[in-house]
Amino acid sequence: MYPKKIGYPNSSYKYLMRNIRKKIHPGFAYGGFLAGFLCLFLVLMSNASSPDRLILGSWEEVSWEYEKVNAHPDEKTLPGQVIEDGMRQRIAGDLIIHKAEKWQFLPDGTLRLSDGAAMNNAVQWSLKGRGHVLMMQYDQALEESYTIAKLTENEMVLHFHTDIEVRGIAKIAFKKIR
Amino acid sequence: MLRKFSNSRSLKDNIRLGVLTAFSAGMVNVATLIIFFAFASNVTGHYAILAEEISKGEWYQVAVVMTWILLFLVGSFVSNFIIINLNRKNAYVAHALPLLLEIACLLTVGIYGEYAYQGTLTETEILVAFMLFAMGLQNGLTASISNFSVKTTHLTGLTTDLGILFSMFTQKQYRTNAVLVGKAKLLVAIAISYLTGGVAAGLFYKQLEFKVFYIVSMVIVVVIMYDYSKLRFIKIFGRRTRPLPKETTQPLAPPEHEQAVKDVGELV
Repeated sequence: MYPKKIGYPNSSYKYLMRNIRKKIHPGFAYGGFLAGFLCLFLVLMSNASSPDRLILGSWEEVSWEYEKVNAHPDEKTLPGQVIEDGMRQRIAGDLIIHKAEKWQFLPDGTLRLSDGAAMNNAVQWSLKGRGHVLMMQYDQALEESYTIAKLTENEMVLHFHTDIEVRGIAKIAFKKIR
Repeated sequence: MLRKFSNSRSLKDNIRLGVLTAFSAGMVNVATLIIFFAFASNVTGHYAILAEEISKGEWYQVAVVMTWILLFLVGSFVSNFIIINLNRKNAYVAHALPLLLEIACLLTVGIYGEYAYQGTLTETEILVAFMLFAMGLQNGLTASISNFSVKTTHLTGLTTDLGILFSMFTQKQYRTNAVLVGKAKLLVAIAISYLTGGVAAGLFYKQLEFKVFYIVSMVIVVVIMYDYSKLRFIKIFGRRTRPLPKETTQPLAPPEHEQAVKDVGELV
């Protein structure tokens, strides 16, 4: 028999809750936590698209910009400034994406790079980490990685480090065309 | 290394355990970073990433990172659950079992990576999850049996403790304190070992790729076999030789889980 609680209305409620807590096996609490987590996981997964699905399709380069610049003694190069064609060619000269303007990501892991005319390179692509790193492999030898700063149904932004002429991070923006 | 529990462990026991497990943790973390572009044990970093992804509304990434953190927690839970439930029956088995599970995780990643890995995002996320679970198991074990003195994947806390200790050593009364000096030795040994493991993984990965996880497994086998061989030796020759002197105990931290120690009892 529980002692009768008189006076504060809250105290009997607390007493009752304490007894309920004592009677519940901790296994139920752990099970409940895991079930709750699973529900949350499923809700999140069903309401969001996986990056490897979002990236599929054809993308067109919109702009090249300086995202971050390590040093700009002449103050000619500033973050946010558009990278002009000549500089762009020098920065991307040794990269797989050199001269590519249209990127087509295929589900079989192939990425077709073209300049809209003759050039048409095929490389292998994959996503790493939590889907925030785009890896490209050319001819089983050359490998490059780009950080995916933004990826939506219509927009993709890639960052990569450059140390040619401009030391810092270059930003490539894309829009989806198909 | 594994037989003793909590305050019955000596500094030497903790250094041995800390060095070998930190070496393996460093290897796993760097190998996972190189292969999958994700940390296997930097849980502080994962919390920061989780917060960032929540603020950006990237719910897919939120679910992934949340699951990784949960798996680290589950690994630690499983490790301590095994220890507190099997300790009375067989302390050595109770302490070796989490490491065997860790080896199973490492070999799964190694074998799958070598023979079946296609490089898809789902595979990457699942294999990283295995690594986080494995690191949770290891960290849970080392922290639990050493009375929270050895945490092989928690370099933030370790560096903080070292900073505090070094500042204390500016005063003579602390410099001559054997417990504090012992703790500093342990922490420095863990930090160096973790770094060495990371460098080794970076170098080995170029040649071995996924096979690097076999080397990590071998390091953990050494941890398990060290005590096993010692136990066999004592069993075979123990009766013929004079009894071993009782090892000096040097508690490294206040008994924060005193109740658990009482429940489990002395093991050796």
